[in-house]
Amino acid sequence: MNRIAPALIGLAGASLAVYAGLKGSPVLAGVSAANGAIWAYRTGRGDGSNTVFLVVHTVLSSLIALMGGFLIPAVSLSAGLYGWDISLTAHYLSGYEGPGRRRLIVRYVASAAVIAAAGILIGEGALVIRVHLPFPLALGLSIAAILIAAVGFHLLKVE
Amino acid sequence: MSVHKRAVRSLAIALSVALIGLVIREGRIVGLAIPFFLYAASLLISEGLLPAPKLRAERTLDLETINEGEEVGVTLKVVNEGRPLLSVSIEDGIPAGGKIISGENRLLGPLEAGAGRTISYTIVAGRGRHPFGPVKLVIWSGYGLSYRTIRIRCPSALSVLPTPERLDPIAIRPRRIHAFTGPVMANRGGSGLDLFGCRAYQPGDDIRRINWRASARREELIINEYEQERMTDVDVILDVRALVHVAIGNKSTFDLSVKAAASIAAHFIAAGNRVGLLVYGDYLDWIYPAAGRLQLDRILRSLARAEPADRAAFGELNRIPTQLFAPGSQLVIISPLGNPDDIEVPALFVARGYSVLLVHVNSLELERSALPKRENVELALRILRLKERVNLASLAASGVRLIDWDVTEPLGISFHYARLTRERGIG
Repeated sequence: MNRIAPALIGLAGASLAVYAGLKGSPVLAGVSAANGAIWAYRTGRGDGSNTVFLVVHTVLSSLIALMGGFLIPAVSLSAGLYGWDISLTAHYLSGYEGPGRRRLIVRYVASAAVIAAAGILIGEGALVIRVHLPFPLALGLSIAAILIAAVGFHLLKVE
Repeated sequence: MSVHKRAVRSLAIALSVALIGLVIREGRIVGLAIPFFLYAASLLISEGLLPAPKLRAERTLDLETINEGEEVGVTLKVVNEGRPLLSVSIEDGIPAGGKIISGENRLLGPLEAGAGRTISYTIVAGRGRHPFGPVKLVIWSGYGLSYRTIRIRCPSALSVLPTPERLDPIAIRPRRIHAFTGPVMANRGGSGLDLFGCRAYQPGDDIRRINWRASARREELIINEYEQERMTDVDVILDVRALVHVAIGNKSTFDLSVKAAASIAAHFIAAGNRVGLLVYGDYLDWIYPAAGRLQLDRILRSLARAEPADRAAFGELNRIPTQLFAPGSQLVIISPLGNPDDIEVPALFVARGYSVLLVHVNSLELERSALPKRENVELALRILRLKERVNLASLAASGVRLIDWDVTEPLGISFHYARLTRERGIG
């Protein structure tokens, strides 16, 4: 887990940087590479939760997605998200040895891969089938999202 | 970070991204929120599906009280009284001052219903009372990314007693002695081993004690008298106020003083005296004088509990209630006398009729080891040494018996030196 998280984050940063470079934005490529490198380095050292880097990575992915294309930013974003998740989980498993640990890591990474793939596929599918988003539907969806989030946060008992 | 916190953060990011996408009416941005939503949903669903754990933990220690340097075996058994758990990581909370020397205090694996898992390991710990922490269990979801952390309180503690050091015999002459035979020279004629004097024979005297040569010279029966050896009360006063102690690296005068108190108490108990202990810190931990192995055990347990005190029970050391000590008994004060007001305290006890042996915990050499070798440092140390010498000389002049213990050396060396010199004064 300690090696998987920085590898995923590094992959996320690198893929986004390369994609931004290909799209003709050296500034976004440089910022993506720098963010990914620092994030991966800090994660490798076990420093903090690094949520700020995830937020920056999300903003960069969104900006690059606006330049065209969805798949690579979505894959990069998912890699960053699950790298962040695994880095938070890794310390619960540090110090454990044996087959039980290996089995758990395989199961965890497999679950993460399945959920990540599902997220990317749903997003890509929605774009492919071109879900129409008129203003009333967009507004309704926004209000519904806010209400769902409010109920979700209440259920989570956020302190 | 807990599952809830992770879910909240990802939901917050997802909502922000989705709202921005909806506001600017850009489907790709809204699509980027989907992985976050799915991630949060999977966390919450798998967390909700985790079975409510019914676990019981039992910790057993081979011994609950050990001496410094000894090892103790710890066995932890966790029993699952609920539904089967696919993956559970178990971590026993070892004491803060404990160190595992063999085995593991953690285990990861499945836990069937009604089954138990056992962890065994061996730890060592320094002097003190070491409570074990709770048993931490992480129950991992069989699928999805969630887990639940629970802690089971399993109260147990390990007491590590200080190991007394063997000391050279040191002669004490308190004013008050008991009627029972002991090791202290009573300055009184009677039965004993050392010759005390001669006197005229009186009816009832043991004829085996007649000194025939003296009787022949005096033309009357003269008998030998021997110095009585009696038991006495020795009260050890240990100063544990944090403000008078120093710690350099892994050595602290506090720990060394505690060990010194254990050594001195063991020494006087082994000699056959009644020994009491007063630990002077933020409260008074007083053990009434008694003799024997049980009393030594009581004293060592009290010393194992001793910790540096940030506050003093009474403002100054001279306010120690003397009612605790039998009049005329022997007091052994173990203190660095780091507070200027403390210097006169041993002399005040002498003035009140006690015999005082001061073990001065001298930390100058210890502190010197942590300082750079500069001329001004050497000068400062010289001034401090002279100041201490003057203070201790004035104490010696007032009748306090002194052992100036340089803490960089074992206490036994200072006792050995004191026995060899047999002088009143420093060292």
